[in-house]
Amino acid sequence: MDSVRKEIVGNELLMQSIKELIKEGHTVTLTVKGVSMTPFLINQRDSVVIAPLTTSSLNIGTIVLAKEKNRDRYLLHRIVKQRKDGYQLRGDGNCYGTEEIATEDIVGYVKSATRNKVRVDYGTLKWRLLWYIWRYMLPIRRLLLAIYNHIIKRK
Amino acid sequence: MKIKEGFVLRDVCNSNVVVAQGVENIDFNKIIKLNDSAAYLWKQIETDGGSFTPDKLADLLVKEYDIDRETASTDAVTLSQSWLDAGIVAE
Repeated sequence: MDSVRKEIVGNELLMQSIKELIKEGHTVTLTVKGVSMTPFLINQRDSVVIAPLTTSSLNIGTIVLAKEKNRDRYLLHRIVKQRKDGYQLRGDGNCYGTEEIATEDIVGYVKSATRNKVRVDYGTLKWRLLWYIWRYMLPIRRLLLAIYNHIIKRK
Repeated sequence: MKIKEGFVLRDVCNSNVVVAQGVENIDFNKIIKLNDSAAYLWKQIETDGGSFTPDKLADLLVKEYDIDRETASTDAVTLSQSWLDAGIVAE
């Protein structure tokens, strides 16, 4: 009872609870799992605060938690393109793959991220810089990720 | 002791979890999960107005579970302390 434990919860169960909490107006803090948002968010190290959508929070560069169209898979990826009825997402750590989502399948957006214990808020200069630099590096993203992973492995 | 205002027991991911009501942030890295007996006690306190003493918890434990008074008292004191540490109850 008095111990601090780490538990891994299945995605489906987690998403259901997150949806409920966000609908009630809560924000939810989660640790990032997976490498698809590297290097903006690092697997198991960084955490994000997911908040209910606001009218001004759906922009190119916003990271959203959403269910992929026609698939039962939830993603925490960045909006890269606006569509008629939704958005196209791409993980920062992905060079080629993109995903399509419908607006109604967005659970919430990343209001702030804690990267290596330092908080970065959505929309701030630091947030935009981190994103813009990475975005314009897209043509050489694969090379940069390869170098990055090489350095991480040698650490 | 008293349950702090706004803190309620609810189901999160099929677990008994204590969260602050309203618009507060729920940190999945620091979630307060109660086991079945702790959740039972919490519910009893809730329906009883929110106030409790470790002695009262021990009474409830003896009544509900097949344990001796001494074990119940030790558990009740430990539990009260961990709730205090977690910041969900106040002296």
